[in-house]
Amino acid sequence: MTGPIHYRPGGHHHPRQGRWVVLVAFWTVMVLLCVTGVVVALVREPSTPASTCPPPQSCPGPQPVMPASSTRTWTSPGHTVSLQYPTAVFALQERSSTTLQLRVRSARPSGVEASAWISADPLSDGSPAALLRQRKSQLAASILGLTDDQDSRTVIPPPHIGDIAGVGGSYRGTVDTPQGPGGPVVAILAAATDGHTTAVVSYVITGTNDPAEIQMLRAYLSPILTSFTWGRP
Amino acid sequence: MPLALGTAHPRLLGRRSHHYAASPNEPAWALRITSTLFPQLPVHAMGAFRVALASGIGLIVLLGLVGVFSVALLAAALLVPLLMLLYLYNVNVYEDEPFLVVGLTLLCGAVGGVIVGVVAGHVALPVQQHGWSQLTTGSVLVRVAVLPLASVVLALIGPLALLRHPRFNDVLDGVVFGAASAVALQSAMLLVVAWPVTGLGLRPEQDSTAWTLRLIELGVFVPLIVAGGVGWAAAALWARWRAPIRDRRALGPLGLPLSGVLVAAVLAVAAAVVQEVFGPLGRLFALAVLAAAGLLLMRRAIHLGLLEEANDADPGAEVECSNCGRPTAVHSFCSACGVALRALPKGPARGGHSSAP
Repeated sequence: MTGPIHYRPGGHHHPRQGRWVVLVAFWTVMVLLCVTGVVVALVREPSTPASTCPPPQSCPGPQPVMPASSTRTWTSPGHTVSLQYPTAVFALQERSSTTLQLRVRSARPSGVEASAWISADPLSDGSPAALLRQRKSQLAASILGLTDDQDSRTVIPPPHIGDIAGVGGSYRGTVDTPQGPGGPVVAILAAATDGHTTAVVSYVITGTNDPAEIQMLRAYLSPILTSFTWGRP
Repeated sequence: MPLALGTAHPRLLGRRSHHYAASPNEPAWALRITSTLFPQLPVHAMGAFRVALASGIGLIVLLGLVGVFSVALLAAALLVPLLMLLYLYNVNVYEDEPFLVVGLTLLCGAVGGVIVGVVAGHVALPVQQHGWSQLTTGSVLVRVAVLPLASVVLALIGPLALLRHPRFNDVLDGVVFGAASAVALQSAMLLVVAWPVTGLGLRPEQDSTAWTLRLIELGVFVPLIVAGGVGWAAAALWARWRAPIRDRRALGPLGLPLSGVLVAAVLAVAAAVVQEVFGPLGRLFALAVLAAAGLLLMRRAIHLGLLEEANDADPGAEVECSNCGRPTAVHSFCSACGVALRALPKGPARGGHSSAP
């Protein structure tokens, strides 16, 4: 490393450009950036073919490509609720006294991921709607702009949990990380109660905006929701 | 308040220490973005940058509220780096070495940002996890610790190469180079990470208020945090290897090379943790606090660096101060307005003004 060398400061030089030149240069570049951004967004905009079955029509949807699988049963402590999930589709991430966390096994090179969280709280004093709002606010830390799904190809009515009609539906947002927002998110949220236990289900799909892929991944949730049993007396 | 001294009388240096050396009409401890990020601008030239910054933020807010998120993200990512580039050119920070300085600050930082962004794209996204408990997950740890630490190291590579160059020997140079490299890295990383957002369409149906708040964080607060941290670390390196021996501890115990880099690392990791763990409003508030801390650090480095270098030169010929337009001897501070002459545009070259070490 060379030793310190000191210069007398200049100090009598003026900026190279006047204020208007700076502002015009700045705004010119900003306008060019915006135009570029619009062009890129339009070029990459996904095509939107008309839905063959717009809401509120009830449609069967595509047949799920569900791999043949054995199922595993999860029962909450006190047997307040139980459910079954296909082990070929879901890997167990974590299980606690009130929560089951599952991840869709298929590791996709495209970066598409899906995970399901089911919580059942027998002591909850919140309504299903309040617990749903709480779950949404928890997800808002990592999903930017979470809002109701407006896409007629992927929107769903509030799902049933077992034989009880729930509140919720499908939502859209963008994955948010400390490095910045990234890929698209589709979340299916549902909450229901039997008067003794309140259950909240959140199923989040990241990395795809393709309606067919979303519908296929969403179908994986069906066995969990249909096998859900409320342990009421 | 103008200070009518060009030389550094100890008592008046004490008074001077309350005024920001790069812009003496402002307090040394003040949250002013333009005079801190662009310290070498004369007061009359600062207005244009202030207007540009404010209008740029306004544009980001407008684009966010309208819902064109990918366009708003592009504007947010490039707002501060664009102003930094205009600043570097306008005040001739690079002293007739444009390719060397721009290459080793903005371009080197941008390359580092692309690397970090590509790596981040391959780290899993446990989006359903929340709260502090998720910090024990491996992929979350990579996002809140490994990648921010790598960013600090990568942002310092370019400035470290310039540290060897005898022409850039002021602490102020170090701060500006560090800040420029850091904002370029942050910008490039954001552009790489956010590329999938362009695939959502021009106006995706999402909550525009949440997006607008996030865009302000990414376009203003985060660049200030990284610029403050890396600027402080670069100042510490410059003070250690470019300042006279008596000035090497001018920045205090946090301004030693190791602790300076540590400060930058802590700021970067804290910003990442806040963005991972907190909800939208808590995150906005916490990032604003961290941005204020980064801004004050950078301002402190510039101020102390300029004060400590005050005695390094003998008075020279009379020139016109580009800050106030009045005559002053070539020295540390303008005798009329009190601005540190090192904190003014450098002109074509300073080689002719060199004095003995």
